[in-house]
Amino acid sequence: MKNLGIFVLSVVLGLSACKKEDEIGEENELITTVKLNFKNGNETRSFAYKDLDGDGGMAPTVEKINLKPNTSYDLSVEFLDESKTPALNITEEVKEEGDEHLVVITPSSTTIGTYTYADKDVNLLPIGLMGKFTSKSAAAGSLKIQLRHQPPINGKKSKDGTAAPGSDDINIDFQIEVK
Amino acid sequence: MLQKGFYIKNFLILNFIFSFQLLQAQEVNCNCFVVGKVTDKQTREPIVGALIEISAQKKATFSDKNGDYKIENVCEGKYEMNIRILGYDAQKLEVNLIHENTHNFKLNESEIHLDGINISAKRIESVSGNEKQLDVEQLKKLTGQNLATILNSISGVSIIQTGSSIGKPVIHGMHSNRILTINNGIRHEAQQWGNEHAPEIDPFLAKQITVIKGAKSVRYGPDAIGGVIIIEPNELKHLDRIQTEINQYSMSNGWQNGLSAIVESSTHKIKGLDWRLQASTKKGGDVATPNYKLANTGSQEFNFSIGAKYSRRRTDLNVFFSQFNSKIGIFSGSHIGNTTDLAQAIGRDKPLDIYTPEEFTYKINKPYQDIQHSLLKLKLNQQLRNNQSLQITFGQQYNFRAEVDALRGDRNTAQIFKINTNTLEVLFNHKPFFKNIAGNIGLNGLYQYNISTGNIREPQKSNVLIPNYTNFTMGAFWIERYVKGDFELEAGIRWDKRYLDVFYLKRLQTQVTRDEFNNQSITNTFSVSRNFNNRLKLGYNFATAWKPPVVSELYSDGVHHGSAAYEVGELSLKTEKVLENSFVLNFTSKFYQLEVLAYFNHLNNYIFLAPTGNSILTIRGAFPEFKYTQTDARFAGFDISNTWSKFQRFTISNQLSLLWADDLNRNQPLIFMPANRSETNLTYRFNDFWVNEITLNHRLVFKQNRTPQASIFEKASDSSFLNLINGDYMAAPEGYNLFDVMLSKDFKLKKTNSFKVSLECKNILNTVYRDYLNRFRYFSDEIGRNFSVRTNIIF
Repeated sequence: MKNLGIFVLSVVLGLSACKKEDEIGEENELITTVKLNFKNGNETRSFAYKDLDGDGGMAPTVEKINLKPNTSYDLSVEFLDESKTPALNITEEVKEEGDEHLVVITPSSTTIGTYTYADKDVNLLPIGLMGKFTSKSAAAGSLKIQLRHQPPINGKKSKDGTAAPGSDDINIDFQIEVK
Repeated sequence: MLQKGFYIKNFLILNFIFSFQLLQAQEVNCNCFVVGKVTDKQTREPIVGALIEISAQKKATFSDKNGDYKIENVCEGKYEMNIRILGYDAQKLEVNLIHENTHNFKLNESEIHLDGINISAKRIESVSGNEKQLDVEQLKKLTGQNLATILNSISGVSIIQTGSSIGKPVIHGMHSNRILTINNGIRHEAQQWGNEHAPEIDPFLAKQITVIKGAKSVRYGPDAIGGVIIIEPNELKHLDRIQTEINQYSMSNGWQNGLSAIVESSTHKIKGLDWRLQASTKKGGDVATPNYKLANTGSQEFNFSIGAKYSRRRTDLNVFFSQFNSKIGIFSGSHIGNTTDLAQAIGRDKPLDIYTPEEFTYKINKPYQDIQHSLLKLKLNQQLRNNQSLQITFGQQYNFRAEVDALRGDRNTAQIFKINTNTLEVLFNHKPFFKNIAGNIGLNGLYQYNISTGNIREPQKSNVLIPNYTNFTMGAFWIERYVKGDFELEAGIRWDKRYLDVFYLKRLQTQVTRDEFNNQSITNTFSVSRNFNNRLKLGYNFATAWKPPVVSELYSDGVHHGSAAYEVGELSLKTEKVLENSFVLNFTSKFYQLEVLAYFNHLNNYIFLAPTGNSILTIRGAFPEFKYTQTDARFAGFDISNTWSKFQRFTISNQLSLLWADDLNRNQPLIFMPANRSETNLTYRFNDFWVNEITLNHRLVFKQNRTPQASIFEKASDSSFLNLINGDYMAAPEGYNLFDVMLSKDFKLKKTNSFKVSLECKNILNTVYRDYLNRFRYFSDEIGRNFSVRTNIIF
């Protein structure tokens, strides 16, 4: 009986090893800047959203998007961390982890324009780093950019091509004017 | 060994030895007697004048000058024995003078049953009686629950939950930095400020838990505004053999299993050296509500402790080390990015399918919490001449907390908090003055530093929930107690000073900012109680207490992960001050017991966190803003418990907890306060049956109707995204009824061996409900039916 107690004790002790702090080390990564590049022929128009001091504090600066009417643009999206020098480009990382991410681009009204995806992840679902934005006749409104993070839940993929699963890594609004 | 787990105790232990005779008789035999000796465990000197009473038989006696007593001519039967001694808590003990088998009545006259029974006689923590205890038997029935859930069985104590695995105790509506936990004689220091930071304590080691409901600042310092939770393992004692206790449990909901072993003994080589080793582990997977499973709600725990005591003559030296490790999965469906996600999550009846998987898993994914807490304690207890004693306790604690979030890629990204605390207490118990006055003088010191990023003086990031800081606190107190007959009076005074040094980076600055705070205050306490005819006890307690604003209240500035809140501190917060009044009434008769605790507390500058209705714009979208603010507040309420018992077999009891908490400046109820609650318990004990005990439990939690009506903060009209309903994002949920059933069976194998099994079903009707104090009530229902098996073996 005496040995049983010691046996149980050692089983319990052996079941788990002490953890180490090194398992977790990295600081939270920040995205400070979202850049939208609208390309039509040789002309590229870029607009940026910047929040260099991170959450809270000073209000972010947002450039207003100006587009020509009835024009089809190739739209590429870039994510940067400009709080560090040199600035970190996080776009590549999102691309590599494309099966867990979805960029959702939503104009406030369909009279402004329409967006279609032009890229695919390994499961042939869109990522949204590249797409096509077609402007319509003159209008004004806003354009919402979301980066949905849709990691697997208990080993099961959660990304299904819709915006619903996951949480927002990015959720911002640009003012847009087509004229 | 009845009442085995009762010895934990700080000061004195009375040792009683009962022997009784069973005579051959057809009729009721009234020739039994009880003899014994009452001694002081530490000085080993006899205790004179303790009252030993068997009230049902109207028999009573005092221990004589040698500590001996004898009660003669007791009829056989099951009795409650009361042992009372001035300045100590009255103890009740059930003694069964009937042998279970009627044939045993033919026992030979000369056969004497000797049973050693140890009873704790603990110095009463509070004279007025606003304290409650859970003993080892009650704790055994709650094995496997987290600490807060265990405490939730006490009236007036509620629980703030974050999902089902994280719970924090709430006493009379107060929690976090207003509740002090004393774990094994050391004040537990971790990241108490967070609502989803559960106490890092292994309940398997606890053999007695005492909850003091109300301010106890004079003894324990500024944190003890709302109450104190005292958790104690058994005191180490001399054992001639190796004693082992094994506790095991399994639960059907989440398939959680736990195992704990305690091995203790004394060495033969060194006289007076007793030791104990303990380890426990538990592992659970995804839990389920009545209608769906919740993804990523598993939890794991692994704890161990080593303790040793060396006693020689009048000196006791204690060494104790424990480590607590846990990893807790946070329900994936609660990981919401921002206000839009929050609004959508609230709008759904059931979380998205992806968050409510069909398959079960033990795996814990991001987000999760990873926590480690280590405690080292050294304690010296020196008995001096003239019944005086000196106690020196040193504690060293290290708490590591990582809140790991689901972010891009496979990177581990986390908010990390590391807090290191050293505490020292010197306590001197002076010799009694004029026979009736006893008391103590104490000194406390605490030095603590917290690191969120970088080094203490060199933080690396702004935007942290709490900055780096050092905290130095010292205090001195003096408490005297006057006891005469049935009358007791206690008065105490304390002085405290706190130095807080905060090091942080302002936004976009590389220069470290240093802020210094100095606070000091005096607190008083006064309690009085009177016992009438041993039936009725009345007590009154008055206490003042204070709490300087803590770092999180002053400096929070960041997104609190998992709760989608942007928390903002307020540097101009002033010190919180409390005036507490409480009344206690205890009435005991043969079949009925009544206990009423009424309290009325006034708080100046009560600090709380509430949603502002505004949102903070970040790149991840707009986050609901929560701000710390203060007001004058009033907490008033009742804890009422009624117990009827018939023939020692059938017991019915009810506990009612009522609270009215008001914001006096805004003239409306305070936000996030526990709802009124009633708990009814029916127990039937069998003598000779395949189970010993059947218990039915009913819990009724009312809807919290007392929520703020008007907004707490002035709202900036343009940036509101979410409408607040009664100061919150979702109206308070409906009230609910829960039913539990429990069966238990004890086996006594040999004299020192015991085996106990219990079966329990919680939420037997699989009721779907949500609780106002669960932070995940926005996202999911509470967990459903849960079967559990518990075994306890001592050999």
